[in-house]
Amino acid sequence: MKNKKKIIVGLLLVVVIALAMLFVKKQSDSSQKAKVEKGSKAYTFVVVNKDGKEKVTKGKTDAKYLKNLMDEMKKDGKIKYKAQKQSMGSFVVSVNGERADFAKDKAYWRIVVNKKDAQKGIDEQPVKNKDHIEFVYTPAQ
Amino acid sequence: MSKSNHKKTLQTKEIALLGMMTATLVVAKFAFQIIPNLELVTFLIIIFAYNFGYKVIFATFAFTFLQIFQWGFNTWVAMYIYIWPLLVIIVCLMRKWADIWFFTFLTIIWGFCFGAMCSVVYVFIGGINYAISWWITGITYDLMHGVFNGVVMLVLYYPVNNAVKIVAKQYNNC
Repeated sequence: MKNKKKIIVGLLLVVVIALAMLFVKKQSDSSQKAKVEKGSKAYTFVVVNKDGKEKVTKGKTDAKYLKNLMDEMKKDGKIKYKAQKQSMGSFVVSVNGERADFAKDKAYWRIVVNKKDAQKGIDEQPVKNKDHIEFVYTPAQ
Repeated sequence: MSKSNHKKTLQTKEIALLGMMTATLVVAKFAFQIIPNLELVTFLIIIFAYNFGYKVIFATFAFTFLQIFQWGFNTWVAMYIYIWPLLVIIVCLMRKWADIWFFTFLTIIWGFCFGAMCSVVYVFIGGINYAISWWITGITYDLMHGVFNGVVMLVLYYPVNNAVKIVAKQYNNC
């Protein structure tokens, strides 16, 4: 009788511990999966500086607009940028420490999306899957 | 030599016994080294501790020391220094409940908790979050470890424990 009680208690303990461990593992795996899946849109972000040197960054994002993507990249340390708030929206004046302020430098940061000049500012330019985004240092002509 | 000296120092027969236990542990570890987290060391330490008591802690230290020559010096050394002596202490404290079923469940739970016990070292290396994530990554192996330990205990308890009991009786009569 004593032995039976011991076996039942032991079995219960083993099963409870095993189930608890499996639960912890499953929860951890789910949260890891969620982290990996966050970012359903692939992008390539290229910065071409004054000297023509390119810095390419690739990644995944769920950002809706280009400004959201750039803020995300800034947070992750992938890019540094400064933008001025104007009536038409945000205007990028500095990327990775390189200023292209039209008034001061007679240059600007040209935004090219999928080989075409962007028609909207960073606040309204949507980010789509597999977008190829370029910020090109462009002197005024 | 006075009686009190005998209590404080290891006797020759104890050193011989500890040597044999250490050698057995080393060989047992070697036998299953290909398969991760599957080992006979837990089983043997339990049987030795049950029959010979706290002195088995010395054998665990010697075993850990010899393993350095095989595996090199790494974080596992710190883990082995507290894990195996802890097992000896638990077995010695719980001797009165000892039987095949008690040891089977002890060894299963020991296997389940092995990763958690090892992760304590990583608290000091990478912080508590690192230690927890290290433990979680190895949970599947811990579960396998526990199940294997249980099977080994059920199969080998009677034959091995009976043999070690004979040795213990002869040792105590020396």
